[in-house]
Amino acid sequence: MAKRDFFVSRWGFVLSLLGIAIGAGNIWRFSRVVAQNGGGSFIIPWVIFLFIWSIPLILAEIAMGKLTKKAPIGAIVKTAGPSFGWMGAFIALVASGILFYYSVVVGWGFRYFFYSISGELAKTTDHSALWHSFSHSFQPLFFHLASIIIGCLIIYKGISKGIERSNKILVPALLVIILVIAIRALTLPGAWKGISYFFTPHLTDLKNYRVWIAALTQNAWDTGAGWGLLLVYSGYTRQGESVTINGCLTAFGNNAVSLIMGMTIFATAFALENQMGLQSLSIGEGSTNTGLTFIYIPKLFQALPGGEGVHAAFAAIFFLAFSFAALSSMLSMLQLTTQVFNELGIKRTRAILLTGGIALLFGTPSALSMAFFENQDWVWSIGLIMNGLFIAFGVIRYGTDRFRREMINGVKGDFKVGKFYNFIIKYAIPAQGIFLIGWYFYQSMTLDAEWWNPFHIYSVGTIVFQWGGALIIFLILNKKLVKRTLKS
Amino acid sequence: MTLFTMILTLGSIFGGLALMLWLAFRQNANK
Repeated sequence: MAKRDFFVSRWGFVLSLLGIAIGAGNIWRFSRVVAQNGGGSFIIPWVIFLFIWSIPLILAEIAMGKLTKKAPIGAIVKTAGPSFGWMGAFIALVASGILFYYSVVVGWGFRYFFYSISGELAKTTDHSALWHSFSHSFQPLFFHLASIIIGCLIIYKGISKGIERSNKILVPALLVIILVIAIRALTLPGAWKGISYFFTPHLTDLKNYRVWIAALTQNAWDTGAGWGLLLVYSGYTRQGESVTINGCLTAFGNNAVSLIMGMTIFATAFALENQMGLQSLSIGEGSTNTGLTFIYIPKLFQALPGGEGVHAAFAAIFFLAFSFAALSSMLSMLQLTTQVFNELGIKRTRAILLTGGIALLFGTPSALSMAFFENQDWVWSIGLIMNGLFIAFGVIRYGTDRFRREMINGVKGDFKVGKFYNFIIKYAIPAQGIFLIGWYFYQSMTLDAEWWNPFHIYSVGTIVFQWGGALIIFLILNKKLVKRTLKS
Repeated sequence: MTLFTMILTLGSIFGGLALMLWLAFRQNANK
């Protein structure tokens, strides 16, 4: 049997966990959602849900990874039992489904970095046209391929020499860049107006249940909790590695980056566009997330004091940060899919090639069609909430209190988690997850007359069709999946 | 209210981060 690779240092492991959590969502989704949900009114529930959704699931995943040292199928089988291997397969499928289009996003980041350093982005007068000409060409396919090749090469090098080393460069570089951009934004005349809006709550918004739903959704999608990715990395740590401290470092570190990026974007938008800034942030252009990142932010950089060189420099470091954030998250998705194939009996090198090949193939429609991209984002983002529920199910089946005492609190020098954790995992997580999925189904049914149509981008039908097909296959193959995974 | 939310948010997130970093360094030193 091949010798198991490990994270060499604690900080390498923590930076890799941060690499998973900090992704495109911190940069392109957070600010838009804050703008749409009343600024400070959103921030308060966002902090609350960090403690009752994200942190409990992050701790569960890290402990589960350390306990089982397996990818999601094996992890669920070892905690929930062999009848539930299909749940683990679903968790892996969701992470892989996201990988297929996320690699396209990494490619977009690379392209815009090159647009920035070539000066094209600073010179253009129509950012919307530039984005449309790029996204409707074959270029995204080329950059999608480039991102997969880079990712696979890093994964091929292994955990310590590939993932750990890359994250030791990508994450600190990302943090430095974010701080540089933040300092520039916060020193702009009029920046305070944006910061003030960002932190001012309004009682009417706080009473609005949609703001609370948006805050829970942001936590479910942006912190890396419940994806199954933290679980995979944690399987490569040594016995005495921390659970609670490392888990909370990941959660607080991720949200700190969101806050810094949010303050940066709000300060810049309000300083340069005054009240129009809020409108631009809320509405966006094109697809909501892409509009903010690839159309609006480059426009903002052009309005910064200084010449074309300054505009190009700030755009370049912004898109470098964006690419680093997205790439470090993508690495974990590649590792997860590779490990699942590996545990099913495929040799590692072949598993990497298979993962890269599948990602290229299934990501191609997303690279060429925004409608397909948006459909995949809808289907698998809701799938992430289901993943969180399955991970909580694994903990409950293992015995929540036993899991808390032995796996979460079992490390010397870690702070201990109290019995309230049992309540959160048994009741609060299932209640939040079921409510969220129900809410998004209800939303789709009320907004789309043909909500049952599997070919509509945001329909319930498309989710049932894609999830249902996969779940039926996994249920049929459950015994085989479990047998092969446990044999590895 | 703005200042209150600012202190609450920045305090809980960055305070939490600082506390965890301190605990992590202390844990490493005691190993």
